[in-house]
Amino acid sequence: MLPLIATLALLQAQDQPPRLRTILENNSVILVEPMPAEPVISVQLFASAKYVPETEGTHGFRHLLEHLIARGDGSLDRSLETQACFLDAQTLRDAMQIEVTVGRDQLQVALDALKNILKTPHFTQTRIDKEMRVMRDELAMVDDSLLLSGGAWKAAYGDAGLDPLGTFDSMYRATPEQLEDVFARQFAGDGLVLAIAGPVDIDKATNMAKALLGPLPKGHFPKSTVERVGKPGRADADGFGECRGAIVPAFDSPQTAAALAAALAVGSELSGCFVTYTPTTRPGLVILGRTSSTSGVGSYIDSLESGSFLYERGKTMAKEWVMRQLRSASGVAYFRGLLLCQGDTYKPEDMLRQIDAMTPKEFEEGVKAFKADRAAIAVGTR
Amino acid sequence: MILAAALLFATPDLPPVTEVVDSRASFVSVQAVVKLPHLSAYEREEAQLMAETMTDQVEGYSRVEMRNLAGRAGDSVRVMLMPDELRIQMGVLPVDMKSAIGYIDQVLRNAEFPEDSIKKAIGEIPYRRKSLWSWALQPAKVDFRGVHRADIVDLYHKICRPENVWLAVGGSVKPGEADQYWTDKNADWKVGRPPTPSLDRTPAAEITSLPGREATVELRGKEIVGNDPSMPTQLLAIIALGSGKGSAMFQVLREAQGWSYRQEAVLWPTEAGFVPRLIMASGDKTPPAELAKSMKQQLIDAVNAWTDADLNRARGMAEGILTRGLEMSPLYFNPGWPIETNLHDQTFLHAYWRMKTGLDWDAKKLVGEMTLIGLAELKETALGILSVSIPHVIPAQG
Repeated sequence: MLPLIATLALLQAQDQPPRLRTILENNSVILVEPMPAEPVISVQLFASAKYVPETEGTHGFRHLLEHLIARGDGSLDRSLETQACFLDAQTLRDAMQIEVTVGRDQLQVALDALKNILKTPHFTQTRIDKEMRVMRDELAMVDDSLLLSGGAWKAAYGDAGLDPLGTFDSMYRATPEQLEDVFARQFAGDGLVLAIAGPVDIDKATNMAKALLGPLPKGHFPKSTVERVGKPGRADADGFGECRGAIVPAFDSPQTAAALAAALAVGSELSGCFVTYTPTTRPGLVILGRTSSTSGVGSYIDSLESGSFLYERGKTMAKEWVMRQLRSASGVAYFRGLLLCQGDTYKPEDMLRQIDAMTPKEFEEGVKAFKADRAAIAVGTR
Repeated sequence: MILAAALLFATPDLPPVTEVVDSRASFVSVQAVVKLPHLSAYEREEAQLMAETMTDQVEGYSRVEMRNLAGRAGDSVRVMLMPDELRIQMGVLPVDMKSAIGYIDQVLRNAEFPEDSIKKAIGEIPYRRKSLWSWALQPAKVDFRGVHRADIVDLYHKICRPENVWLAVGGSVKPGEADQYWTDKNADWKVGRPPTPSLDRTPAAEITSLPGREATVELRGKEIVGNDPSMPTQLLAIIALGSGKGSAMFQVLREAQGWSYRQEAVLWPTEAGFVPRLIMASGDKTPPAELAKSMKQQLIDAVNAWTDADLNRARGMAEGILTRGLEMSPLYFNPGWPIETNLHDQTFLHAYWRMKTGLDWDAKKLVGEMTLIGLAELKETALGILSVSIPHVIPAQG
C-alpha cells in the first residue's frame, strides 16, 4: 500500500505547476510558489507607489507610514514572535514591502497579520511625533552606501529619483490626515500583490490569499505622471566614499543585464565594494561603490581600457545574483512580488534571459556605462 | 535538509573536517576557521594586515584564477577576522571543491605577503568607512605605524598551524571526499614546537568619539566560557533582552523612552568564550553616561516585571532565529551583522561551534533545552547579566 501512496503523492506533486499567478477582479495579484523543502513560508505584501510618488513636499511620508502601520500598537509583533514568526517592512522607490515569515503550518497566521495591517488606520499627532523621534535616529544612522546611492539617484533623475527614506524636515510636516490619504493611495486594491513562497499547497494558499485581497476596493486615484529620464551627472552625498551609477532602462533590458554583470565583476576586483540594484520596470541605476575615503572605484573604472577579461566572471555572477534570490522562499516572494507589483507580466526569468544572451560587446558597453562621462556619480563629502 | 558531520579519521595534527551536506545547494562553501591564540594589541593590528593580504599572492595559485574560480559560482574569496578566529571563505561549483581546498591550504601554508600589498593595506584600512554599528561592536583604533612585514609573517606562522585549522565544507558534497583530500594534502603538516603566546595583556586603544550625532551606549556583561553549561539559558536571556520587537530593549529603549532606533543584545565572541553586550545607538541629548545608568535601571525594572508571556515570546523568537532563519540572531561572527542561515554561515557555524565549545552545533537541541527553562531562571540570568554589567559609551562628535 505504501508504494501506491508514494506514487500518488508524486503524481500530485508533478501535476502542480511551479507557481500560480492569479489576478483578482479588483486587479490585485496573487502569486503562490510552492517550495516544499523550505523551512518557512514567506508571505510578502507589495503595495505599489504608483499613486503616491515621492515629491519634495511629501518626501518620506510613505516611510513614516510604514513605521506606523508595521508597529501598530505592538501587540501584533508580540503575538507573531511568540509563535516563532516575524514581521518586517521596508519602503522602496516603487513599492512598500511587508514580509511575514511563518512556519510550515502557519500561513493563516501570516494572512491574519496582514489583514490587521490592511485595516484603515487612524493616527494621532502624538503618535506621529513619537515615531519621528525614533526616525530621527534612523536617519542619522543610514549607511554610507545608501547615502551615496541616494546622491547618485538624485544626480541621474533629479526629483524623480528621490530616495524613499525621506528627510526629517519633510516628514515632520506630516499630519494624521495626510498619512491616512497616503495609506489609501498606497494600499489601493489594484496596486497590491501578495506573493507566497514556501511549503504550501498552491490552490489552498491561493484561495486563502483571495479571501484577504478580494474584498479590497480598487483605487480611483490619478496615476503618477512623473517620468524618470536619466542623465549623467555628479552630486555630493552626505556620506563617505564614492559610487558610480550606470543609467539603465528596465530590469529586463540587455543594458541592465550588462551593467549588473559589469558592476559585479569590477566589484570583485576591488575589496570592500558594494553593488546595488533594485529590479524596476522603469529606468533605474545599477550602482557600484566603495565606502572608503580612498575609494578608487572611479579611477579604476576610468582607467580600464577593456573589461573583456571580466566578461565570463561578470556573466556568471549576474546570473547567480538572480538565481540565489530564487532559491529561498523569501527571495522568491521578494523578487517575483516586486516585479508583479509593477506589472502583472514581469518575471525574473526575463532578466535571466538577457544575462544568458549577453555578448562580450554588450558587456563592454556595460563597463562603459560606469565611466565618468556616462554615469551618475556621487562623492561623499565627509 | 542539512546534515552535518565531523569526520573522525583526520590525522592527529589536524582537527576533523566538518561536512555540512545540503543536497539542494548550488555551490560548495569551503572554509577554514582558524583558532586565534591570545594576541596582544600590536599583534591584533598585524593580524588585520595579515587577513587583508594573505590571499594576494599564494604559491602555485594565481589571484585572478582563484577569483574566476569563485566567480563561476557567483561567489568570491573572503577573509574575516574576529576576536577568536580568522575565517577564510570561498564558494565554488561542486566540481571545483578540491581546487578550493587546495587553494585555501596554500593560503594557510604558503602565503607570500608581498611588501606592496602590505603597504597598500596600510594606506587603505584606516580610511575605510565602518558603520556606526561596526564601531560599536569593534571600537579598537588602528595604528599601523611600526608594523613590519617580518612581524606579519612571524604572526602568520604562529597562527596558521595545523592544530588551529578547522576546515569545513558545505553543500552538495560527497561524504568523506573533502576530508580525504585535506588529510592527504597535509600529511606533512606537523604541529611542531608550540609558539610562545604573547604575555602582553594591554587592551587595544579605543576610539573616543563617533562621527555624526549618534552615540553608542553599551552595558557589557561578564564573560562566559564557550562550553559553559548555562549557554542555553544565557542565549535565551539575551534573546529576551534584545532580539525582536517584543524584547525588553525594544520596548523600553525605543518604544517607551524614544531613545533609540537600533538596540540589540549580542553574545560577542572573545578569546575565552562570549561576552553579553547590550548596545543602543542614540542621538538623545542626555549625556551618554547618564543614559547608560538609566538604561541599566530601566532594563532591570523591565526584567523584574517579566511574565510567562515574555518567556514564551523569547522561546518563540529563539526558535525563529535558530531554526527558521530569522535574521535577528544575537550571535555575531563577522564584523558587521549577525549570523544567517545561508550555506556559508551554516557551514561556518558547524565548524566554529566544535572549535569553540567542543560540541556539535545542534539548533533543534538548543531550542529543546530552552523549553525547560522557567521564568524564574530566565529572570535570574537576565538580572545576573545586567547587574554586573559595566557601561561603555562612545559619545557622538555632534
